[in-house]
Amino acid sequence: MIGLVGLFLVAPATAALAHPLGNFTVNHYNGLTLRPDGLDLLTIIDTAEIPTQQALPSIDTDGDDAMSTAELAAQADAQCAAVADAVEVQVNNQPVPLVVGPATLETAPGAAGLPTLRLTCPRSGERDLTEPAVVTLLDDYRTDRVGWHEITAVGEGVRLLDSPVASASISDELRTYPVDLLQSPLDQRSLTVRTEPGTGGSTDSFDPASGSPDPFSRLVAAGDRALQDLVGDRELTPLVGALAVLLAVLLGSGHALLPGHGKAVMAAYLAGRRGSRRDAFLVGATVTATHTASVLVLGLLISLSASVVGEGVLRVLGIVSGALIAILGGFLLVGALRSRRVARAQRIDDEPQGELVDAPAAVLATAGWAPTAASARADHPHGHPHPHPHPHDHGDEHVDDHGHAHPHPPDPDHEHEHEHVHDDDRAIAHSHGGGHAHTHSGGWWSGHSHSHGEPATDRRTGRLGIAGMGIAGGLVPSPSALVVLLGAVNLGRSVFGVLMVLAYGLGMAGTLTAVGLLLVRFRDRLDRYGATNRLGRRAATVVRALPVVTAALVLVVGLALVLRGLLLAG
Amino acid sequence: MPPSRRYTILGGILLAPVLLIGGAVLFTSGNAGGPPQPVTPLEIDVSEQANATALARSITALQDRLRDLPKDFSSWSALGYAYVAQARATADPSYYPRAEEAFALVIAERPDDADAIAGMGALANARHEFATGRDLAMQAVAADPYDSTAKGVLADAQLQLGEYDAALVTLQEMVDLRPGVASFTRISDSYELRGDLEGARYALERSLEVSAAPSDASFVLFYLGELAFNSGDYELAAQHYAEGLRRDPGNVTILAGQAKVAAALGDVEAAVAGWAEVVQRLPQPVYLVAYGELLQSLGRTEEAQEQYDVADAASKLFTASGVTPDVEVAIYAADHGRPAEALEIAEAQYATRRSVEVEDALAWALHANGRYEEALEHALEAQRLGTRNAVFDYHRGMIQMELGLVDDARASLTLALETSPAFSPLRAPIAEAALNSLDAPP
Repeated sequence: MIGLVGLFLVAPATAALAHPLGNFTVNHYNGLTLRPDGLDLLTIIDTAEIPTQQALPSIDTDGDDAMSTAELAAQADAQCAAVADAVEVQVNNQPVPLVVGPATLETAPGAAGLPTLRLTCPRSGERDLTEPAVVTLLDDYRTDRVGWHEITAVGEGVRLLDSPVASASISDELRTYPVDLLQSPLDQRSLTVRTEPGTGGSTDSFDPASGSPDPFSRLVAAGDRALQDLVGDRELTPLVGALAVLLAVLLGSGHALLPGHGKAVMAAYLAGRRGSRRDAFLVGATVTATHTASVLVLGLLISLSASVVGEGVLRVLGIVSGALIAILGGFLLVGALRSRRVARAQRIDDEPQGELVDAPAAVLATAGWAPTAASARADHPHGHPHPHPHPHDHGDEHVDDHGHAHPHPPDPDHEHEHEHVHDDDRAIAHSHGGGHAHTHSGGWWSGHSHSHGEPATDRRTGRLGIAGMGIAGGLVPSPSALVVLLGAVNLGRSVFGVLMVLAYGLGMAGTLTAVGLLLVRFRDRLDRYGATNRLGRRAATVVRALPVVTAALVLVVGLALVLRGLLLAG
Repeated sequence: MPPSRRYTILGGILLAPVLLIGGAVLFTSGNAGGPPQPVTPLEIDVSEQANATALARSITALQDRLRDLPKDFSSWSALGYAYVAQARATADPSYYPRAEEAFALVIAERPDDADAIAGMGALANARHEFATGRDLAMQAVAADPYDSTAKGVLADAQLQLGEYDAALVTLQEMVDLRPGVASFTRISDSYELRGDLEGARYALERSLEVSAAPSDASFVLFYLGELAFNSGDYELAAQHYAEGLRRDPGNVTILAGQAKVAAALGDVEAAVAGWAEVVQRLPQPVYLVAYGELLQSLGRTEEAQEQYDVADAASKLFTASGVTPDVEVAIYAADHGRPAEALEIAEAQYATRRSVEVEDALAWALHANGRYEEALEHALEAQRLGTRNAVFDYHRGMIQMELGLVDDARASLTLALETSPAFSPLRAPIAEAALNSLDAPP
C-alpha cells in the first residue's frame, strides 16, 4: 500500500508549470508602508489553479462555469473583508483600524488552460508614528494552505530599525517567484519591527552587504574563491596542487592584513614592546600555531560527525576568547594602575626621564587605536551609530558571516579586539609578571626577583602574555581556512587539506612576523626621537593616562564579547 | 629559556584549542534546543512522510551548509532527498525539479555517486516511471552494494512493476543492511500484497518499535490504521489514526484516514467535515474523489460534482505537465461514465507493468466497456498473489455477475464485504445490493 499513498502526487516531468510554486498553493504578499501619520498595507493573494477550481462554485453565481467581471467584482469585496479580518497590524500592541480601499479580483491564465485568481486588497489607517514605536503584522489568512508567504516593509519619513524583512518584493508582488536551488519558498507570516522618526534608515537585511568596499578585501575574497575552486577541482595535478599551496600562503598573509584584523596590530604591539626580534617571531608562531591547530581540530570534528554545528562551536569559542581577553584586560588594568603609581613615585623621587622608555610604546598605542576603530566602522554592514562600537561590531559581523550567504566572510572581529589588549604593553609586562610571580612562587617562575620595570622580568612575563594573546587571537578559526579544509576533506583529499591549512598558517605567520619586525625598527627610531625631542617628551606626559584607559577598555571589550556570546546562545 | 619549558609552552598552545574546541563541541551538541543539524542521506527516506517542521529545519540547515561548502556533494544528495520528502509532505510538486537539479549536480561531478543515482530513481518512481526507477536503482546498487536507500528505491520500483519475487530478494537484502522503518514498512507492504495480514501487521509493529522520530511513528501508525481498515477493524483503525495524529498533529494523510474511518463507522457528519478539511488543506485528486464519492453516497450529487470537477482539473494539470495518468485515474474514469478514457489509461499502464493493481484496473476498465471475458482474465490475474483487497473482490464479483457466474460472484462479493464491510461509501452498498439480487429467488 505504500506505493499507493500519494499516488496522483507525482512529479511533473518538466518544470513547465505556469505556477512555479505548485498548483495547490495559496500565496500571500503583504507590503507595509509606514508614514509619520499612518500606514498602508497592500495584501495580495495569488491563488493557484486547484484552489481556484475549488473557489469556482462560490464565485460563479450564475452557474455558467465561467467567472464574469461582475461576479469577480462582487467577490473581491467579500474576499477582501475576509483578508481584513485575518491580516492585522498593531502599533505598540494596539490594533490599527484599516480602511479597505478599492479591492480587485482578477483571473490570470494558469497551467493547462485553467484560470488562477489574484486578489489585490489595499488598506490604510492612521496612527501617529512620529515617536519611536513597535509595529507588528500578523497574517492569519488561510493558514491551512501551503504557499509563498512574503512580507515587505518600507518607511516614508519613518525609519525602520533592523527590519527583518526586505523593503522590495523579491517575487515582484507574486508575479515571478524566484527559483533558487538553495532557497525554500518564503514563509514570512508575521513581522515585528521597531520604528523611529526620520528617513533613510530602512535597513534591509535581505540585501546582504556582500562585497567589502575596499579593493584589498575584494581581492582576498576573490582569492578565496579561486582557492576553493582549485581545491574542488576534479583533476588535481602536481602543478595545480603547488599553485593551490602557494595561493594559500598568499591568502594567509592577506587575511592577516585585512582591516578589522587585530592580528597584525597585535603583533606590532607585542614585538614593539621591548624591541626583541625574537618576540616578533614568537608572536607570529603563536598565533599561527593556535590558529592552525584550531582549524584542524574543528575541521576534523565537523567532518567526523554531522552533529557538530560549526556555528555553535564558533560562538562558544568566541565566548572563550572574550573571557581570555577580559582576564588579560583585568591584569592589564591592575598593572597599569600599579605602574602609574610607581612611575609617579619615581618621578617625584628623582629620575624624571625614567618613563621616557615607556612613552613611545604609548604613542604607538594611541596611533594604533584610531585607525583600527575607524576601519571597524567601515566594516560594519549597517551604518547606524552605536554607543560602544566594538562588541557590537563583533556580533553583527558574526551574525552576518553565518546568517547570510557570504561565501568568504572576513574573519570575525575577535582579533580586532585583541589589539586593545596590547595597547599598553608595558602594563602587560608589569601586571602579568607581578601577578604570576606572587601566586606561582613555587612554580617555574620561581627564583627570580620581580621589581617592577626590570627588563629581564618584563621579557619573561611578557612571553606568557604573548602566549595568552596568541591563543585568544588564533582560537577562533578563520572561516575561509575552515572552508578550504572541509572542501578538501569532502573530496577525499584530507592530507592536501591539512597541507593547505598549514600553508595558510605559514602565510599568516609571515605577515605577522614581518609587521612585527618592521615595528621593532620603527620603535627604535621613535625611541631615539623621543629621547632627543621636547615634543616627544610632552606627548609622553599626555599619554601617560592612556594605559589605564585602554586596559579598562580591554576588560570591557572582553566582558562584552562574553555577554554577547551568551546572549546569542540564549 | 630551557628547551623543556619551551615545549611546555608550545604544547600548551597546541593543546589549548583542542581542549577548548572539544568543550565547545560538547557544549553545543548537548544542547537540545540548539541549531538544526545537517542530515545525512540515510536519515531521510523518500517514503517517510516526515514531520513538516523537522524536515523544513533540516532543509534550511543543508541549504546553509551548501552555501558555505558548495562542493559538499553528500549534502547535495541529502538536500535532494529532503526536497523529495518535502514534496510528499506538503504536496508541493515544485520541490521535485529542485530535487532533480540537486541530484543532477552531484552526478555531473561524480557519475558513480550511488546516493544521487538512487535519488534520481526515487524521482522516477514519484513520476510513476517505475521501469526507469528500477534501472537507476540497479545502477546505484551496482555502484554501492551496501546502499540501503538504493535498495529501497529498487524495491519500490519492483513492487510497482509486479516483479514480486525480485522485490522480496531486494527487501531481504535491505533489511539485512539496515533494519529500520524504511525496510520494515516495505516488507509489511509486500506481506499485505500476499494476503498475509498477520505478517504485515507484525512487520509494522516491529517498525513502530524502532521509530525514534515522531514523524516516523506517525507514518507507521498510519499504515497500521490502513491495515486495520482494510481488514474491516474500523475501531482499531480509528485508534491507530488518533495515535498517529497525536504524534504528528495536523498530518493530512492521517486526517484523511480519520475521515474515511468515520464514514465506515457511520458518523456521516464527522466524515463530511473531515474530508472538507482535508481537501481544503491538500486538494489531491485522490482525496477529492473520495470526498465526492462520500457526498454522492449521501445523495448530495451537486456538491459531489464540484469535487469531481476539481479532481478533473487537477488531473488535467498533471497531464499537461507530462505525467502519465495512473490506475486510480482509470478506475475513477470507469466509475464515472468515461469507459474509453479508463481503458486507454489502463492499457497504457498494462503495456509497461503487470502489477496486481494494474491487472485490477484493466479488468475494471474492460468491464466498463462491456468486455467481460477479458475483464475476468485480468481480475483473476489480480488475485495471483492472494491479496486480500475488498475493492479487487468487488470488481471481480461484479464482472462474474455480468458473466452469469452466480456462485463465483456470490463468493467474491461476500469476500469483499467480509474483508471490509464498509470499504467504500459508494461501492459497499452496491456490493450488498448485488449480493441480495443474487440471493433473491429469480
